[in-house]
Amino acid sequence: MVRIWSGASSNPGEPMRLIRLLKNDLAREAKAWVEEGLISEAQAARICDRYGVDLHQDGSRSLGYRVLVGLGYLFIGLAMITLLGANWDEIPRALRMWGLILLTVSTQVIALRHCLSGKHNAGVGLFLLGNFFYGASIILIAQIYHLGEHMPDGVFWWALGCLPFAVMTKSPWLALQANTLALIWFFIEISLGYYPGLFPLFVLSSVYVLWKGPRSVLLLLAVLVSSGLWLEYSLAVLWREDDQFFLFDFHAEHLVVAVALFILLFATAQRLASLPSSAARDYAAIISVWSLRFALLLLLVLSFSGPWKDLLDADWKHLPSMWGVTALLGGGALWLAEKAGRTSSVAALLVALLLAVSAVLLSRDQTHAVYYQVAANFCLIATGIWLVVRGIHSGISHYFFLGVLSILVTALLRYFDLIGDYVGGAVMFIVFAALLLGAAKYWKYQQSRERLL
Amino acid sequence: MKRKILLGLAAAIGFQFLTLIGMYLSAQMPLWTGEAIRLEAIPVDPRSLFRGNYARLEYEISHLDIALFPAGKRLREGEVIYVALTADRRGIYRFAGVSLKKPQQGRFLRGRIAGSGFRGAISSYRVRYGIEAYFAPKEKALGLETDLRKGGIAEVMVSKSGRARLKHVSANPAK
Repeated sequence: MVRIWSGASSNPGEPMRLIRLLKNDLAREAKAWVEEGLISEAQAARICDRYGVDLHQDGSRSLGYRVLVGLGYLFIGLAMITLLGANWDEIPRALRMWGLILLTVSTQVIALRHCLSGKHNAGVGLFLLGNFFYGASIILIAQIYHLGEHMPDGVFWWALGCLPFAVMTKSPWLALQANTLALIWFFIEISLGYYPGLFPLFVLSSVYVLWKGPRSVLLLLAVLVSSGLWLEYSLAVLWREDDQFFLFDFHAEHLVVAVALFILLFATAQRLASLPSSAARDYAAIISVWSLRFALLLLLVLSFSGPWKDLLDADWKHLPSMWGVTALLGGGALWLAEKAGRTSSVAALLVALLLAVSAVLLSRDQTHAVYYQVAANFCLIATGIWLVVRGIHSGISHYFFLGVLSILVTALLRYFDLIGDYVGGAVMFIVFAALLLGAAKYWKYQQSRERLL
Repeated sequence: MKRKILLGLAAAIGFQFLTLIGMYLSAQMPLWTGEAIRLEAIPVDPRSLFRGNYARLEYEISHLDIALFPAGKRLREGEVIYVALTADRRGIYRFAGVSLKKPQQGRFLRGRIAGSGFRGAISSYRVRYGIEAYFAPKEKALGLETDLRKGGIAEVMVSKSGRARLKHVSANPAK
């Protein structure tokens, strides 16, 4: 029977990571144990503390309230912006503009007064709403004065105006608002051919809020996506051909950097998992799950010959800077892995990356693509088997199902897209079958040995 | 709440207020201090989810032939250019020249090279002057589309630095 823990501890004394829904279940169970006299309330509180759970679940109730209020404010903001889209010609422009500016400032002042009187959450909610009014005011000024020169500037000032509130209150919701607006600005700028140089300011502020403020998985994901996009687009600008820069202007080198980035993320997850804080362990689980999904997706793409042909045919004009950035990311990954005591797995991933890229650079012959494709398919199957075994061994259902899924998808894809010819395809399926049956046999052997011991 | 955070939040509110005032003044300044010129405009009619209905206008000076610029120099997106204008006998301002440096005299507009989205050989640059969007309620925008079908006249206020603000658009009586 597969347990539905989302993560398992490798050390006996270390608490297992629970998914959010199970945390609420644990709190409910612990309360029931107290009522039945199995444990004392103090013991229940200690058990819950161990997993970062609130025994009385006050937090989860107020979280639900806060989410609903936040969404309500979001819709008020959207209603205001949509109303502006109607261009009320009947109301004088000065009245429209000053009315909205007054509404913005008074909402923010009321929010500040709430914070002063100790109602922090209500204050944060009103700051969120005030920031929407602030954005609506910017849109209105652009509309009244027919400003159409450079639209991203308006979005930038909107994001920048939201930022200090996020940093001062350390609220993940306000940081998420500023970061999302910054991401919109980032993409508009990039699509128009400009480089948004101040974007790291928003990412760093979100990192500060993550570090100092309450835990937020959404903000963590926003930070990871923003950092990755910023690095890749910065390299795209550095590696541009001509004076011009375009959206999706990527090179083969970007893929190598992306893989190195995910190895760094994996190492970060290992380091966070080794920390005593339950928030750090939660973040570690999220990061490692997404790193794993990226690895499987990448292997799935590379299980076709097309991408390998493109890689073998690519110009690879920016090798020194590519190796430089990869070395920096790899060095960081090794340092974190060493701190977490997981150097070997991270080093193995880096060596695999180094070998694969070196092989492509030395070969540069499109007819070799099929060899790389076969190797990627075996890697995919091996990863699937490893995930199934790890899933069962550690009781991590996510790994188990992800492993089964990757094996089935590989088999299905290879059935539709036969490598070489029918005989070649049949040979590959036989080898896959042998690998799976071998793994099953090994698994049974291990189980019987454990029973004997 | 700590005094430092309180002051920081108050400063953040002040920053938002000053940003809005700054935007208002920067938008209003050419209208207060600029001189009026008239340009022939051709309307296109898009709709922005965030900004509402507006007529997108194009001008004779919205596309400039690549041969007008120094040979061998490919302009970058966002690069600032200055377009000199002279009035014809009807008082409509027309293209008189283009330079990468600000002219010392005469009427001119400050524009930016806009992205074409495609790499490779091009015959002209697209230039934006900040006078390409005329916002209006839906009915008025649709009416403008009909009125300006054969072309329109845009009344534009231009500051000494060449920054322009669109004041009004009307049908072109000559067409």
